[in-house]
Amino acid sequence: MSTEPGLSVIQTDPILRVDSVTKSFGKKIIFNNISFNVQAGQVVVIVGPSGTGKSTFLRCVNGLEDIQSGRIVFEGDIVNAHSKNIVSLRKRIGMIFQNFNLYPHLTALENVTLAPMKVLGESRKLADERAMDMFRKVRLEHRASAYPSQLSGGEQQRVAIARALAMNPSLMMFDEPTSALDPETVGDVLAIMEELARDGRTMLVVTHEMGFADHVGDRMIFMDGGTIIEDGPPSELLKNPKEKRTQQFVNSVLRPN
Amino acid sequence: MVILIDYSFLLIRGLGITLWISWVALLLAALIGALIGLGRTSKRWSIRFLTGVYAEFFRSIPVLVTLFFVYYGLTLLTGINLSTFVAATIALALEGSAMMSEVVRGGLQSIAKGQREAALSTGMKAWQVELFIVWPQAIRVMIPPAVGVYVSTLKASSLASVIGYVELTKTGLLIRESVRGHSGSLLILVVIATIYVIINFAISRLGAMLEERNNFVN
Amino acid sequence: MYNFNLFFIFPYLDSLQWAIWNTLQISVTATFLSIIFGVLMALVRLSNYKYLRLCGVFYVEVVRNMPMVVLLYLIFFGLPSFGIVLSGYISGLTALTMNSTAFMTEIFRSGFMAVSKGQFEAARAQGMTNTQLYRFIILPQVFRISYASLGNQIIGVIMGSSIMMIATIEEVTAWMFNTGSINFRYFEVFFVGGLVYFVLCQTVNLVRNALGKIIFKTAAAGGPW
Repeated sequence: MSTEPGLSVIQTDPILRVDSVTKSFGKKIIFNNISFNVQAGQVVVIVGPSGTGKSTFLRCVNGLEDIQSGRIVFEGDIVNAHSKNIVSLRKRIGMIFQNFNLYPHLTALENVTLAPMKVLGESRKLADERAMDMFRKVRLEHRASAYPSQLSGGEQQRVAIARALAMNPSLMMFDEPTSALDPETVGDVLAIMEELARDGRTMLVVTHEMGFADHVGDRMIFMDGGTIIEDGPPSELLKNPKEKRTQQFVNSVLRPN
Repeated sequence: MVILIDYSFLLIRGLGITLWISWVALLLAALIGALIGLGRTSKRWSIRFLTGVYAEFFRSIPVLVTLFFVYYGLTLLTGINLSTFVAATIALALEGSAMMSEVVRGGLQSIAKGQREAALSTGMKAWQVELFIVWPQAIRVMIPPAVGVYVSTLKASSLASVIGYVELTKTGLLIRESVRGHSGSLLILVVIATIYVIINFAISRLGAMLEERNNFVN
Repeated sequence: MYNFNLFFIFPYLDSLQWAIWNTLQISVTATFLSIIFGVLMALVRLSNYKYLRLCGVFYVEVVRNMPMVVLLYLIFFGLPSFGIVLSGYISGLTALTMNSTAFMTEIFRSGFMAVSKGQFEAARAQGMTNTQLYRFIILPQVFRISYASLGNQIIGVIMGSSIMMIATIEEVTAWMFNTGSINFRYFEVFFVGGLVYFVLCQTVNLVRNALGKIIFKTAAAGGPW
């Protein structure tokens, strides 16, 4: 049984359990033997150099990619990309993509209400009302009738967050949510994510924003070369990393020449 | 099967005629199309409008209709009996010229404005800019879609069989008549179809290769 | 000198009306069928199974490189050899639909390829089933991307319908040919028939542009649409 360093909350059943998971495309191994747990209400930030399989890992958690060995258990259900129950599982996991992936043929409001209506079976009235709540949450109530092509990158990403929230998921996953944004809009998105964390949302965030990881994250996982190098409180990893590779990474990110 | 071998000479001749008439029609279409396409990029509104109507007109008239018009109508008008070859060539050229004008317009518009400005700034006259800078670049862009026009023209040339011009399709139909009752009567149609598919596929591939090469160069 | 006089057409306006109806009917039917088959064949061409994909490629390359007259002759004269005798109308419709399907397949294939992979992922991540994913997210976008080419192909079908006279269908080109050979007023006949085709095609163009503005409200707003 692995212990979870830096954890002060009372141990309950974790919402997400990842047991020695391996993912490969053909002969190419993306990540190998990954294990960790996420407790409800925790904000876990995954950091590491590009191309170490962080994004692919998030895709595996909601079955957009299959895994070759190991086990991912979400709220007691085993994640299997090829099984029928994957749909019921994905309803409970919200996903925010690097490139937003808003539906370009629908307005912002329709983007948010489509899945609650079609997947959860909500009435249009209820879905619209709840969507407007979400728009207030992301401070975009004045842009609800705009099409994605009329929104800035930061606005699009906030709509994407509203879209995920509307499904009332028990886990929110963020795949480099600010990497494709103009520098001036990054702050807006991070502020909303911070609010979500304060509301007690369980979040799994892949990001390069070390400031966010330090302030908002309960835990930080450093991945490199397809394995977890270090796992602990963000301040710990950032100030005195135990591993040499973590140290190098932290230095390169925090103190770029 | 054996019967078909007896007719293989006729088939080759038919194919030759099909390739020839579509080639002649394509050249005429390219000449007319270049003028019309040039007109469609003109600065003068009236020229753009007239040439646009020309292109849109032939785009909305079926080849068969143009063919009948040229073959029967022009004969009636001029009193000169046009041969099936001449009539078919004119009809195919008119239809092709509308497509070619689109190709030429697209090619000319693909050349960045900066090219013209750069050339003018070196003191070239307007015609020199067109001749030495714009067209040499535009023609490279035009060739792949022009290959597509050739394939269309080649396919459309089969309609000349309707007015009795003996090209590949008509050759097939005539052979089919003369072997009626034999097992070869269906086979001959399959053979004709296969010849068209192979020829057009080969030409299309050539066009695609030219396009890829262009992409590489650019 | 030829004396152009549309008066000579009057006795044939009744048959022209039927000819236009036939042209419209066969064009609309072939368009409708080839859109359905085209979407399905596009999915076949993008299938994960290599042999299925190759079948799709084979169909498209064979049919679109073959003149439609030759396809029509194959159906009209060829199928009876196998004991299948089709009426002129069904033969013509089959040829026109098969031909248009090949082009529709390519139109929809490039449409599907233009929809980004992220759209599939986003919809799946929201828990949509495959049916919901295609119905609400992918097909509306494919339709929107293919919209302009779709209009061109519909004009292509109307142009192709002229060949149906060979299958003894009394459409507009057949009317022109028959009427001309009765009254020898070829100029008037072609003028009227040509006008019919021109009006039909321009109607398609106008409807396409107007409908496009209504359906795709964002068109004026720029962006990828």
